[in-house]
Amino acid sequence: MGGILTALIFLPLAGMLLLAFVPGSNTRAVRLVTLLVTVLLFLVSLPLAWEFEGTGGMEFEERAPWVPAFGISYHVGIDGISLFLLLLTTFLAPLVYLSAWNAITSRVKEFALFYLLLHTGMIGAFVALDLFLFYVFWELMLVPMAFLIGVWGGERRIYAAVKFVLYTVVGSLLMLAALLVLARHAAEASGHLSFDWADLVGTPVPRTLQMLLFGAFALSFAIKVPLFPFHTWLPDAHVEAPTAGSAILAGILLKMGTYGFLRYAMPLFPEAAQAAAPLLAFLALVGIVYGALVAMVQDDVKKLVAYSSVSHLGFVVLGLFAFNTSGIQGAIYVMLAHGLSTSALFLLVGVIYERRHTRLISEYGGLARPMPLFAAVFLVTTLASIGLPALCGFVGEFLVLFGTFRVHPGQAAIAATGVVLGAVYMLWMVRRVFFGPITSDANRNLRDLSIRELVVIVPLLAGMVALGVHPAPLLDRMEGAVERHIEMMRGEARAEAETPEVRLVAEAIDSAEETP
Amino acid sequence: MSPPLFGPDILRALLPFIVIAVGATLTTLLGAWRTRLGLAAAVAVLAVAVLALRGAPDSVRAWEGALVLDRFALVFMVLLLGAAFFTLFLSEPVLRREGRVRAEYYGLLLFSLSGMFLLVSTTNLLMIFLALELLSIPLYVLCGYAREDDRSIEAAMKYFVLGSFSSAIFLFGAALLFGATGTIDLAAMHGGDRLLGASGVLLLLVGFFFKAAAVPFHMWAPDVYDGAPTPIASFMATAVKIATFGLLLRVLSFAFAAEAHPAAAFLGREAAEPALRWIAILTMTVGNLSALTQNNVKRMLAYSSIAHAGYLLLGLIPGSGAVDCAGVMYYLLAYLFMTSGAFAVVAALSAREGGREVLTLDRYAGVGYRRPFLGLAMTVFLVSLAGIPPTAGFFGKYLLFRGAIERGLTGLVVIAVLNSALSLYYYLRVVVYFYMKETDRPAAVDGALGLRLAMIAALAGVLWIGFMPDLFGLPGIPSLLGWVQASASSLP
Repeated sequence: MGGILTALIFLPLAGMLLLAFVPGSNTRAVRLVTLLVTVLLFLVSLPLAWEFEGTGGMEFEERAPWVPAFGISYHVGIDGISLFLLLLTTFLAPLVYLSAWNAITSRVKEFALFYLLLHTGMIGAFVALDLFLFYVFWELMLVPMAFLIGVWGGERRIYAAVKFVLYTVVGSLLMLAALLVLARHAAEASGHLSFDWADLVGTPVPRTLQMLLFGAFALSFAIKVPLFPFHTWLPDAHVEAPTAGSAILAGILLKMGTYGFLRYAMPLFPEAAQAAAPLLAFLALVGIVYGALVAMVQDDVKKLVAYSSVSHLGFVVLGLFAFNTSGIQGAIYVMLAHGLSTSALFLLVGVIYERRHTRLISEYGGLARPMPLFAAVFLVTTLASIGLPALCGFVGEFLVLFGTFRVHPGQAAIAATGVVLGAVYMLWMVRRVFFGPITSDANRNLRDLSIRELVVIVPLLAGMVALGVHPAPLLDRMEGAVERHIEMMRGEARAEAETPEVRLVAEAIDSAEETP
Repeated sequence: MSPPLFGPDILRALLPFIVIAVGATLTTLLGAWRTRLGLAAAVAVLAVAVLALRGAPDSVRAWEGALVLDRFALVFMVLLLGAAFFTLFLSEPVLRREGRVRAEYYGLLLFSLSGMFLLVSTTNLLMIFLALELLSIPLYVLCGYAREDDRSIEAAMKYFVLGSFSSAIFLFGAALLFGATGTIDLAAMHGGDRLLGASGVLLLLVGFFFKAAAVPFHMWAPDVYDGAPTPIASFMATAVKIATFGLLLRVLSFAFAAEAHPAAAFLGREAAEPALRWIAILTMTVGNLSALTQNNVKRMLAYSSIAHAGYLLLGLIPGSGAVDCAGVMYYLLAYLFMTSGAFAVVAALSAREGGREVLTLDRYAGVGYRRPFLGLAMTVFLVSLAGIPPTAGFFGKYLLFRGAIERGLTGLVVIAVLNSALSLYYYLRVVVYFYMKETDRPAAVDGALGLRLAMIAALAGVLWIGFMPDLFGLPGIPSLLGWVQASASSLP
């Protein structure tokens, strides 16, 4: 089954070409075509899930020369790390578009075009195995996202869009410079210029140079994560973006940063990564606690969810820099869980925003009475987000804490307070919005979820439950790649020592959740 | 023994110059009775020049370096022809709109082009001076071509005064060099007084930097671009810059030639390299910082072209190697497409209202929706200027930066990279106005065929290089990179 990855990359582009022939005034046709393309995208990606073998190496690889004179090739492939992020992307694509069905009323065709282009960028960035190709897709994501925020966003949309672009570009251009230095260094050793991940990853780099290059890569990824103190673009972008934009931003784009650490910054510069680990773990911890505290005092639901992302992504970084299997598996798992639960939260906030055109918590109260179904769905999503066992958030956070505890108990203790704080701000928000008396008359006769909204949210809920109840299939498929990652980082001996324990943990979680 | 003064090779090598110069004269004369045919005449001249270039030999050196037709010169001539074609396409609609169609305009343009041709194919200081004047004097006139507009007159005056000033400085430098070495052929210079030689070269460079609008010799550029007719501003931003960098490459490749090369004697690297570094840093940083606050699109593009000159200067710093001829050429090619394209869009949007051109950004609000193709094209040009993949500008920067890193200039590259990020802000502002703002007084859009053709050609170039940076993709055409690299072998 070759060619799936290429098909996934080019399918949205083909969709854009198709859309070019649909008149923009026929919004219904535009929407249908786009939905069809995104559904097709998901269907095409499905075979990856069962044909994936989990060998630990790259699978579904494809190679073609692109610019041989520059040492650039078209090389794509996935392993256990990128597989699920890719599936998450294609899974969210139709759902998020469907959620924007009625919300986007102006310039529907342009919205669809940018939406599809964004997917080409995201999918490309997850599957690229040539650093140059990765960079191209990485930058390609930027333009459509900026448009989604800047054209269809809220009041301060332009400010938010420009800030988003500038933050990202500063980081990514430094990464480009570092990339060139790295490629040159590798070319000196091997005699030919190549940006291929496999060629570069084994290249020994002197320690000082490693620190510099890792710094450039890490800055770029830290901005994207976003790691404290580079997070300030995030609340603006999230709050101003249209609902669909926020959902993609939270669901997929934020994972690009942590994925970048995992795929590029860490294995390319292992020594520097280890040396920088305390600093990054510290920033992650600050992010976890700070994000949670700031989320607590927000009066805008969307901003609250945005800051909660800062907190959750802190867990991911913490797990990555624990350098053991459970930490890293947990980190990937948190990425997936966060992708599902937070994009669902943004979509749900969008649902009430469409009805009431406000996101202030104080405007709501007692929503559970007019909208019981909505309240139930929201509550489940919240619980998934704060890591209630049997829902997706739990497995990842548990593994991260477990992995961190084994190396730095103190860090794990601080991170655990983030879990508690998470429960506090989320549940407090739910209480203020859904329970208590109805304070505003406008809320009395709100419509509950429509069929379309249910179609969007039910698959997400199913995903949250599935990930929470039965993590083994995912963890199994990740394991090979994660172990290989650790080998690259540390040498084989310790990775092997850790494997059985992690399997035990996974099994323990499984059995714990199967018996009620 | 001395080489023959004339031979069949030399004659064939002279043909492109003769075609352009004679063509320029004829086109100007045409103004006396068939002034509407100016464009046709100019296109015909350029077409014949293309043929002449195809037949031109690529290793002719005659008359003490006054005529040097090598592969390097040929590549630059092709670039210059490209810039000239773009300018012609931009000119006709704008002239027609303003009721100023005259054959003399095209004649002047061709004269200026002939000066540029000479400029890139000589190593003789006297010839360089001649070429510089031939390039500049028609441009002084063309800047003031919109003569009812006081800003156009001001532009012409400013360009003339500062241009003459820079020519004088250049001439002084040439005199010092001659005094130091006893020859006016750069290729023959060796030995001589080191201090005198170094000061000569520095003055020479100052003269060139005026033309290239490098900081701190850039002050004239925004005013002149702003006041000059848009096609002429485009011509100055592309052709003049290409010609000047061709000349700079040639001169500096002599100045920075390996120590074994005789030319190295008259300018030690230690003298000019730090100066060049600082000028490169200043040029890109000042260009970008000044562009940030511009509301006038032409001034913004002027500062942007200053910033791009700064990136290009990176390629002229030898570092641990030699000047990066291939990188600079490649960048110039990318720059030609994206800048011409951006100016074509500006030309389409800057119809005169009450004698003044519409140039402020706020009048561009919503254009992206009213004219989807124009909006898309401008977005691609600006994204390319900012260096975001997959566009020509990205690969141009990529090659320049890679070359600089290979020569050990990592610090400079980091500054350049941060500058690129900065530049995205003001390029993005135009896009923001195009797509994200509303206005009740939108600018009129000129949909003339020439402008559209220019935009389509520029868009094709930007995307083609962006997706296929090495290949033209047509059978029989060699690799683009190989083409520019081979031409670099003509330099010492």
